[in-house]
Amino acid sequence: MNQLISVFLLFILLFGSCESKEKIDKYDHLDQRTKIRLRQYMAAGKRLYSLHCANCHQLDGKGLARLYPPLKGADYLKQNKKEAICGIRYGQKGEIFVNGVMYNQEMPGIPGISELEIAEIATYIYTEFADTVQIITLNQVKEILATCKGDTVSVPELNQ
Amino acid sequence: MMYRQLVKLLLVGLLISCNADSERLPILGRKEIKNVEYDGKIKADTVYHSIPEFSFTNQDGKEITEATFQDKIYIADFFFTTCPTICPVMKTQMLRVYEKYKDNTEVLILSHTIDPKHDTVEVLADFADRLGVSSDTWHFVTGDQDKIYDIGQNSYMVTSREDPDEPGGFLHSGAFLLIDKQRRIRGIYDGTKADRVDQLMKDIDKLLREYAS
Repeated sequence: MNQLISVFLLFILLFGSCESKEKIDKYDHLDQRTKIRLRQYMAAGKRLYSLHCANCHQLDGKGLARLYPPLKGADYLKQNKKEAICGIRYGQKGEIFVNGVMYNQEMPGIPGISELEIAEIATYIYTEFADTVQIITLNQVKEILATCKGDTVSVPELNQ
Repeated sequence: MMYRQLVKLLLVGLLISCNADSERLPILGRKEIKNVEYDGKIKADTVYHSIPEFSFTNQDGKEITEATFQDKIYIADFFFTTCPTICPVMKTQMLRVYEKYKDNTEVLILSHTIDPKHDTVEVLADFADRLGVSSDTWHFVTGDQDKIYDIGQNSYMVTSREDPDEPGGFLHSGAFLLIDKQRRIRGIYDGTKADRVDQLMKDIDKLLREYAS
């Protein structure tokens, strides 16, 4: 019986210590209202990401070999926000360089996706994988989409 | 006392599960009873469903036939390189199988494209190269569209027919099939689910043990 109690105590200790090791919240520098909104965007964005993007880019955003480029830590995302956001709706075609590696697999667009959903996905991708902790707002998405109405995005010249 | 009994129970449980584990994998597909001549007498014999002869071309432009898989067990699937839906997941999972068995010459992988018009030898070579896998273990094959669909539908028993309404243009099942050295199907697994692919790898080990003993 004593053994049982000590095992129980050990568990409490283990879980207790996990609890106390709460990670530093990366949203802490934001004001309360923005923080709540960002969390909403992130929750919706994560669900949409796993539905539309994770098949190729993987749940952890690391991509697959030299077939599907990573999003995590991708220089491309930082340098080509417009193309990234247009690409979510219209797809992307042609050679693309991410962190110095050439990828050339056509990405299909998501034709039926709403502007809000694009904002949520983009917010998730940029905050989770590109360390930019920011809401990409509905208005920003509308503005960007207005510049790429129509076809598959042609990839810009190599930005390095 | 309670404690000891618990340990005993656990041990018994373990033994049972070990026994279950040593069972042979089933042989899948329709079997037929055929009359065969054996030592001058006609006898009834069970003939299992098996993969018929075939001839396709792999990513190196080499002809791949059933002879390529002589004395090998292999895992077969159907995919196409431009598929945006389940194929990337299947390839992520098959890559796990590849990594585990790439040094075992008894195990091969055979991925058939169901879009041979687009997936030529050059496209498959680029795909395999980008995936970082070698044709010593993993064959990506293309060939006559009708023959690929026929062998998929009628021999590997998986759905791989053209459906223009599906994203990517094809309907397909995402199955991985485990084929033994007699070209019989010993298991079908959902290649889009990590836990089913864990099971596949356990079954590959089991099948290898069958041939080792």
